[in-house]
Amino acid sequence: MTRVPSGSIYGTLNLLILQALADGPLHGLGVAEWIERRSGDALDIKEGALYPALHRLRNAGFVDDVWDEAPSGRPARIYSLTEAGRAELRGEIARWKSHAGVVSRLLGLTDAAEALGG
Amino acid sequence: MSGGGWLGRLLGLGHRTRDENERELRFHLDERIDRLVGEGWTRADAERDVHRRFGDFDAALAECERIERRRVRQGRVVGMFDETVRSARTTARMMRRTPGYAATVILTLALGIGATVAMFSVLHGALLRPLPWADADRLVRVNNRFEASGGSGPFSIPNYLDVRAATTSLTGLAGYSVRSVTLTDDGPADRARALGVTANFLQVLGVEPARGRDFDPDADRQGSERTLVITHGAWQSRFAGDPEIVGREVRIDGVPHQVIGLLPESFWFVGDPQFLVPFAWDEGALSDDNRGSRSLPTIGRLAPGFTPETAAEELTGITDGIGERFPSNQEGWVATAVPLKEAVLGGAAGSVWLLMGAVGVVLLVACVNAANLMLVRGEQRTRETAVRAALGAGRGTLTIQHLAESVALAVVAGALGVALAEILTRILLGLWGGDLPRASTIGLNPLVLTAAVGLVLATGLLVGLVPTLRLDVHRIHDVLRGGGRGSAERGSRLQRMLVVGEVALAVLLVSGAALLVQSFRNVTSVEMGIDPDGAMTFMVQLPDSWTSAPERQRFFEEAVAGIQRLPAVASVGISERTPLQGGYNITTLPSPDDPEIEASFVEVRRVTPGFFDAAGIDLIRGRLFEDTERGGAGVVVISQRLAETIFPDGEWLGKRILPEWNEVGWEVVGVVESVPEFGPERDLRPAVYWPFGENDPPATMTFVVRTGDDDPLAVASEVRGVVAGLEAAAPVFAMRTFNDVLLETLGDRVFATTLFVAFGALALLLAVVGVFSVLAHMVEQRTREIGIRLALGASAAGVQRMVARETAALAGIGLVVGGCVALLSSSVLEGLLFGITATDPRIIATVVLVSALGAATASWLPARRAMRVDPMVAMREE
Repeated sequence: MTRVPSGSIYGTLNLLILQALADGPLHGLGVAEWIERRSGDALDIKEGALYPALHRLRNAGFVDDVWDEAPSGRPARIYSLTEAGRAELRGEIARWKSHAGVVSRLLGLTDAAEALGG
Repeated sequence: MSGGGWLGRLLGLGHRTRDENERELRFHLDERIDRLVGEGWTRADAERDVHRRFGDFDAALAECERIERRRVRQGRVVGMFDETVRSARTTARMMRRTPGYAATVILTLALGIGATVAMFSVLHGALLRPLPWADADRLVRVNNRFEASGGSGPFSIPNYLDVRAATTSLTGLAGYSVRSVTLTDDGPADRARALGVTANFLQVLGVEPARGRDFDPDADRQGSERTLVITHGAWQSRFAGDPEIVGREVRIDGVPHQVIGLLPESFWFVGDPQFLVPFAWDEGALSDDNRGSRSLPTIGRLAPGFTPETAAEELTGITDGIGERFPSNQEGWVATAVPLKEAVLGGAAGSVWLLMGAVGVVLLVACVNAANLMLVRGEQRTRETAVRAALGAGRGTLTIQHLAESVALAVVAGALGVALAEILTRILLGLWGGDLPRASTIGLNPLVLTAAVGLVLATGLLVGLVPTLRLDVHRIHDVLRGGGRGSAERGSRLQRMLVVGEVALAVLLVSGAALLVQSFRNVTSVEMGIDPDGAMTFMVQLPDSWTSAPERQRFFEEAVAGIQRLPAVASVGISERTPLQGGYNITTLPSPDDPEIEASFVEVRRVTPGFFDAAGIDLIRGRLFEDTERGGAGVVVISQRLAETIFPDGEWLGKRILPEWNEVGWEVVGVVESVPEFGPERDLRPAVYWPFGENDPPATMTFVVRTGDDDPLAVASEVRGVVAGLEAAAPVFAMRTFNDVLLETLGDRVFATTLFVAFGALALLLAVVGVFSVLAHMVEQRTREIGIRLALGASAAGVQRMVARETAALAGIGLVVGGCVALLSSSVLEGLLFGITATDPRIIATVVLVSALGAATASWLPARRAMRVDPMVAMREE
């Protein structure tokens, strides 16, 4: 299991966050756990970096936030995907697929999924 | 959250966001550490691992701050807007989700706002709008008061001319008289409201025609060219805005008049006239013989430096001078001058302001009710509110949110309310029995609508602020920890206080309504000397072609005989005016027994024998006129009030009354019941009845017809047929039942009573809803407690007692508070109370009974619901 340095996936972090929220609203920790679960710890993302990304997405109008109570009783900021976010996610996935396809072909790889790390 | 300042917090700037961001990041760490500790890690290890995974906490926080600031910079103004839009969206969502709640709030407020706006448009239209005359503050109504009796009378024509020539306190004095005329143009004859005026009338008012010219200085004398000035309204309605109106010829009572001027649209005067027609005074009218005939109401314009009081003094000096030349003419009289605005608007002002106050109370009740509903709803959102507050949302932010919601609801309610007001205003104007000044021009106008918008916003703020009273950011932790019970207690305490206030306000209006209804019953059961049931009245005017007095007399005799022959008619008679419409023709009669005694303001009526029976005026002693007795028979019938005044010893039979102007006098043959000629609230008046034909009959007479049926107007068409058969060109007009005549004399009492009852009922309904919502809420909150009680063997009756206790507390305290306020404030109703006081036991009993019924209604459903609580279900819920 190769660890991909987080710097190289910085641009894709937004995509991952949007995808994480596509299934339903989550708090920041939830997003971190989603990525952790899906990547099997393969992506070494500093969790602190999630938050500026989330806030940028919010500024862009792709996610909305509300405060609610976590099961532990602590108040948590919950993010959810907006309609604009959903559209952005679809567009980004399409772009990613074509980009990944091109790169894979150039590298002579057949399993593009491996380049995605999962 | 230190030092951010409330404004900063309100606008979402400054420390709040940093607090929120730090909390957000901290949550991440704490949550993770707790979980690892839960899995058996040592706290130190857990912290180290979590921090490693998170990376640089401070850098992440700073980055978030930077992003945040950029957003704030972009959206400082837009943000406020966004917040509002978001609130509006939230509200719209809320309305869709809980339509019952939103509909109740909106309907409640719409009723309150609608009624208030309608009442305000009446208040504004009738009283507050400036009067459409130049320097209206300098105009006075000039009159004369007879000091001995307090009665009043205008000038006679010769006296008016003398005063006008001599006065220095007035720059102008003009006479007018409201009259009803027959208008003939191209079409059929029509009745119209005219104002007879002196030539200088418009000049004194300071009004210039919008088109054409004012009257010539001698326009009010016989022989001058007959001219008239038309109002904007009549120009539109009767002449379809004819651009050639000036110069056109119109026949008034058969006499051709030339239209010389068109008044501006804003013009208005007493009687809401359609035409101004100058008098046509002849030698007789101007002669000294006419000095006793006080028939000319006047208005004057104060000269610089004079007040109404100093002008009245100066005018009294002039009338005293006239008295010296014509002894007995002015003895005991003084001139008076009151601001015209007061004279014109004063009568209606009391009722209109009173009802404005009453409708304000209704609106307050509506607001309290809406606030109450919002409180109950707020309860359901306590946790959301608490969480937001815990995260640093300041009181200001939360308040804005509440207000946005309530203002949004109020705006919807306001739109509905204004639509409602449009309808209600028309109903109000239709209900008004008395003379409401400027009624024809009342309606929703820009100013009223502006006021309505202000009212709506104020209502929204008031309704929204009350629930925020219980936002207490310091207690948030209790809410979060304890499930919000403490707050709920506080909430329902505030809610109870609101409902008690609401009940008190409703009790205030209900007791006002009870007082007015009882007063109305007292007024209408006054011994009036007449029988208003089963009788009707109408007037007939002969065309000017009937110049011969004997022929006029024959016409009226034949009309009476013809109507009497109709099978449905029990009796019929004629007089100058109907009973209850006194003041048309009055005289002074001396006592034949005692030269010191005289009766003033004696009503003079010339009647046919059937009049007494038709009007229901009973004979007390002596006899009525024989069928054959007509003018010249030398007999009179007098009212008991007159008999008591001029025959103090009670001996009247066979005595003669001898007025100054007749040496032979008339023999008194009968005494009949007295009539309160100015309505049942006023005194019984002395009256003298002559047989019809005592003087030349006028061209207009009033008929009174008794059928004894519930609907005396059923004979209307037959009666019209009889009159038309004698003279097709004689209009039959002012036809109405005697009861309607009675209601007219009661004027705004009918209006005030009807509206007070409506407002009281509305307030009561709202209060019942308020009490109901508190009880329902209480039962809901205490379901578990009720369940335990029932499980422990408490009877259903016991549970009912619990609900009943709460009901009694709410309604009881409200009743006592409202009752006290009602007693203390009953003086505002004083002018409308008749034969009753605020402390009358019947009224108190009525109010208590109505309140008890209301309370019982409100508690019915909650009590049933409480009894049906299933102990098992209730206890499992927690």
